[in-house]
Amino acid sequence: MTRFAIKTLLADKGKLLIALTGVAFSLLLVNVQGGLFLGLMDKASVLIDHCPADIWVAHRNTENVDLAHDIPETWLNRIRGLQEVAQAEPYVVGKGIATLADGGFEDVWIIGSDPKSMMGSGWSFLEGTVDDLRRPYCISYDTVDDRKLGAPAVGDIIEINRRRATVVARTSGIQGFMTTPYLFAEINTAREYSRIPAGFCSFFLVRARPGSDHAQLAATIQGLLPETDVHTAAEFRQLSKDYWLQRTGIGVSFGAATLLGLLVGLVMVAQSLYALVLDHLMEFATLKAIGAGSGTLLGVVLLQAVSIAMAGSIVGVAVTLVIAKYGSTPLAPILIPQALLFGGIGVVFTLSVGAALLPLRRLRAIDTAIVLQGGV
Amino acid sequence: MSATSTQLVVSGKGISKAYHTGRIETRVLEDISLQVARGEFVYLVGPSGSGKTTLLSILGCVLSPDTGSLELAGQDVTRLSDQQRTRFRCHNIGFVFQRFHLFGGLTAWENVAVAFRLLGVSGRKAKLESLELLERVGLANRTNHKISQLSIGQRQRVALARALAGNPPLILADEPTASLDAESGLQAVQLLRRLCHEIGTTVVVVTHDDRIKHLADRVLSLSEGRIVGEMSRDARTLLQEADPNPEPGLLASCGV
Ligand SMILES: Nc1ncnc2c1ncn2[C@@H]1O[C@H](COP(=O)(O)OP(=O)(O)O)[C@@H](O)[C@H]1O
Ligand SMILES: [Mg+2]
Repeated sequence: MTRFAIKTLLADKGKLLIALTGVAFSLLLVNVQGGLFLGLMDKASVLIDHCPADIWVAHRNTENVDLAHDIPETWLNRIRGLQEVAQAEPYVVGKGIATLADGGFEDVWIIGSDPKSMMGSGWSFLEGTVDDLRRPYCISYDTVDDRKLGAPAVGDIIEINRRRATVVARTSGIQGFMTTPYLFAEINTAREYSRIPAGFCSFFLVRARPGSDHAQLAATIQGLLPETDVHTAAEFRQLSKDYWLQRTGIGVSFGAATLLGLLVGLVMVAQSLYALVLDHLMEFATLKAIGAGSGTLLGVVLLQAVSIAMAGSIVGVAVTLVIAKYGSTPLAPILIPQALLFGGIGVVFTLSVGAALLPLRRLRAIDTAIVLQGGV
Repeated sequence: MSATSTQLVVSGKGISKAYHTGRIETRVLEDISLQVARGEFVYLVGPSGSGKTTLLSILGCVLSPDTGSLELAGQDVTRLSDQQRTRFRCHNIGFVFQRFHLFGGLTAWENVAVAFRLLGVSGRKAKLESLELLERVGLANRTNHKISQLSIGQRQRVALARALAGNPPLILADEPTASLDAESGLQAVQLLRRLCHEIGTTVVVVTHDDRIKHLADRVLSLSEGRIVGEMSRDARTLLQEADPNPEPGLLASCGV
């Protein structure tokens, strides 16, 4: 009956196309919405993701890597002596206001690293290197922020909080959740630009010795620095993401949009499969008249549904991958991990096949007598 | 060749049937009893609306009678469930529908193969047997044609081949010549008769086509849901002998 199922499906190209489009569209929507969401959420922890620190020490109740409070650098001495600590450094994520060439203002984050190690500094350099940023009053800027900062060239001077900063490097694709430009510098420069008093910083970045238990070390440090919150990198990453998820509710809005798209696609699938069965009701009745049991009829409909789900998924994945490749920008990155891709296929596939079961009631109630009565 | 054979393929007693549309009851068949022997070629005639198709549907296990009992190929089918009737049809009854009801998306051989597949025959064997059947109905060179590419007469023969698949003991045909011209109508029924005669299949044909009347072993006349007349070949042969100017073809086909 495979032939019957497939050939009957192919006989009506119009409905087939609508059904395939429905599946592909659903899949595309799930993936692109999901990918945009993941891409956006990825920005919430971009500084943590690219920093080699194993443990982040922050002011008590800091909820987010972008929103830090000052802590005294001297506390570092309490943990530097620890056996498991390989490296512990101050780190600044400070806020400044840049004065633009056209006289406008723009909020910026100045990220300051210890000039010896430059831990947590910029990456993806187009021009210049991290080494250029070790020098005082030098900053990098990212091309994502061309529009905001007037696309300064290397060598140009920007004024930040009334102080001159020389652009010595350009990076590509570094942007936080709030889209406020990240300017990387050495720590004293960053402190000065963001008016953090000398002797204070935003975080301590701690690297553990190889083989040590990060959670354990975090607990030890927490004991030594009760005025702070100590997180492993993974914890702090999640904390930063959760903060934006809860504050903005983007999870809900993305989820709702995805669900809606999924629904539209599935209505297309269900509708065209239903119409397909109705169009061929006489053929199904004939099948039953000449001896096809309900199991056989079910098999035919299921096979048709699975074929459509499969072909539609292939098209959907192809289009998704193309869009993810050419439609992803640093401003709106589309991140489609395999889990999302296969999860999406699983959901769309299951729902498509489910939609195909809708006309089954109609099929079961089929009256074989119509075949003999000759009515339509 | 006689209806009095002890080997009955159809044996119905006191069959009646009514349709219900809302509160309106349409009584269609009243107390019908009939017997058809193995290998018999029987016509069911009668005016439009007399209940021929309804009776054929009951004989084909598509409808259940309201009263009475029906035995087909030695099995009591009066009280079978929908599922059981479907299984019974699959193995015991071949249909040639008035409008053929072939599968439009499939080729000629695939249409026949569907019937074999429903019988559980493997795909490869189903194809071989289908091709063989199409050859027997004279469509050896049309096996890969789509239904839409076949003439009405050729479609009729595909339908016939599909009905013959698996050698069912009973074949039912509802107005098989209705959509054919006189010549191909006659040919189609002659073919049906010859093929079924070869393997001893019982055939019940609903028709009001006078041009093919002479081919029947027996004619049952239905009127207002009752069998009002019955005429066997022997009786007609006698009639023909009394006719001073009998049609030559008619006599020849009666073996006179
Ligand atoms: N499904 C049905 N519902 C109600 N009435 C029906 C139905 N099928 C047939 N009838 C009625 O039953 C009578 C006999 O129909 P049918 O068996 O098709 O007669 P025939 O084949 O001899 O023309 C007709 O009056 C017809 O209108
Ligand atoms: Mg009729």
